Amino acid sequence: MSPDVEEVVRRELDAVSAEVTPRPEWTAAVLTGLEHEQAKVRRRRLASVVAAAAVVALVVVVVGARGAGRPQPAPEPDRTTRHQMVDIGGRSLGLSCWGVSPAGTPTVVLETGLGGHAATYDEVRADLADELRVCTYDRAGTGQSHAANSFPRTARTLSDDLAALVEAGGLGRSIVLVTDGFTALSGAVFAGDHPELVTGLVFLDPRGPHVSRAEARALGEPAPGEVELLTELRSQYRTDSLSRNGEQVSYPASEAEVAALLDAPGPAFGATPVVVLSPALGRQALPPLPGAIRSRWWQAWQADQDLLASESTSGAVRDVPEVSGSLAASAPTWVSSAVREVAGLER
Amino acid sequence: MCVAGNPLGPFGCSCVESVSSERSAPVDPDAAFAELVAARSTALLRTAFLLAGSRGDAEDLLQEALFATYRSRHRVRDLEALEGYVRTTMVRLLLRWRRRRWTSEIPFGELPDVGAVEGETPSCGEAWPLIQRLPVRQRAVIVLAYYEDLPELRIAELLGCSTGAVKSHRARALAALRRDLVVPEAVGGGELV
Repeated sequence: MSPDVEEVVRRELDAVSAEVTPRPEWTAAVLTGLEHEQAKVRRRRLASVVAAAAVVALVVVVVGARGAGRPQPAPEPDRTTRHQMVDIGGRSLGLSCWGVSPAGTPTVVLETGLGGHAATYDEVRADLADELRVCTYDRAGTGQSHAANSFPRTARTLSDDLAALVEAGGLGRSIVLVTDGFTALSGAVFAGDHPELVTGLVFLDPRGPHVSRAEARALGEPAPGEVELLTELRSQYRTDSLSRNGEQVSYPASEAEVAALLDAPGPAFGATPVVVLSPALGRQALPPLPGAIRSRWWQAWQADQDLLASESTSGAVRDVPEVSGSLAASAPTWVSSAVREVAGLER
Repeated sequence: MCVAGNPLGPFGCSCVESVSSERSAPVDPDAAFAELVAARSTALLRTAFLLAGSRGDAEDLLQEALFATYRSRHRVRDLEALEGYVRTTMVRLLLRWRRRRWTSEIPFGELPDVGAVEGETPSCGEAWPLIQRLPVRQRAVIVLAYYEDLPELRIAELLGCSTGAVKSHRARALAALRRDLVVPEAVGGGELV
């Protein structure tokens, strides 16, 4: 043994550990998780008592007959508050879930916009987690998640990742998906590819599949003396610079995938309830373009939002007043209300 | 076999089944857990950090251990030893986490094999990165022995191995640390750099 090394190790471990203190939000999450565990235990105890009483009553009152073939409810999925890495086949995605909900209610998946952060949903999550299980995740290559295997990414590859996460992460067979901005495209593909999983869709200020083409068309041909912004935007569309985003998601490929889905005959989302929330002052967030072009951009944006809602026999567009930016952060009560609506908890 | 009252230091009883019949007065498990998190999360997180090697993994490890212990609370008869059970669960979870991030950590390569200078004591601050790079079992033995001050017999119980294996892990870990925790000697000169 080497006493000097042992002493150094001892001192080092003491010194390193002394710098570690729990983050308040982590402690709060653990306490909340324990409360949910405790609530689950209490519910199970109560259910046992009720079930025992019901059995006795049935034996006494209805001797013999019918309920024998009654199917048992599916086991309640794990509702522990936790942050975990979920293996989706050789790579992992970071998944965080909060809250509890009675069996039979959907899991809410909050999808951030491109470049967005899950924290923008904090208020929505806090509002919903008492009634529903709410999850966020880091898309491939963001947060703690491993990078994707191939590039560019498209709405369909994002959707495939989400489907794998739902399966491997045990999120259940009933999902309410909330998307923000561009991720409406991957959300639409997810709903189209996995209608059996999707109980409801909430699109926050969605970008539709025809927007880029309509915007590029509205810019028109170069004209002498035009404002510099027009030249820049025209170049942006010509060089597809939008697709050089942090997640390397191709806009044209994603838009083509969703256009194929939505332009096919019949409602792409069937009877799945859809709520599109649109910031009423969204036009103010557009670039300072000449009035006519600005109007055409705004119309194209709104037309695609209408289209997304019309792809459900139970779709609606709601203008959120006095908001021009992120609805998740600016209008959380509208978002949680829409989630409850499509989840069948609020009419 | 241990007795109630946490006689084996912070890691409490060796297993949840081996409890004394002379246990303390009944305690509400829910209240005890909330109190444990509120009062002892700093100490628990520090041990988790040393075992796991990073804050994120430490938080995951401790959270998972807390929930696992809570779900097994009907077997935890001595609620005053809850902290020991949680610590024990952390170690066992750590050994099961085969696919966690640290298992895929890639050491940056062999450190230069420079000679140690007799009588020199390495400065604090250099050891932690080296401890982090130890294999999980070696790191666990180092933390349990030098941070938690557990005897080899108890460490062997926690790791599910023999005391001989514990000695071997400790010896290998110390040898690696002794090799790397050195003040480099100038080439050919013997002067300290």
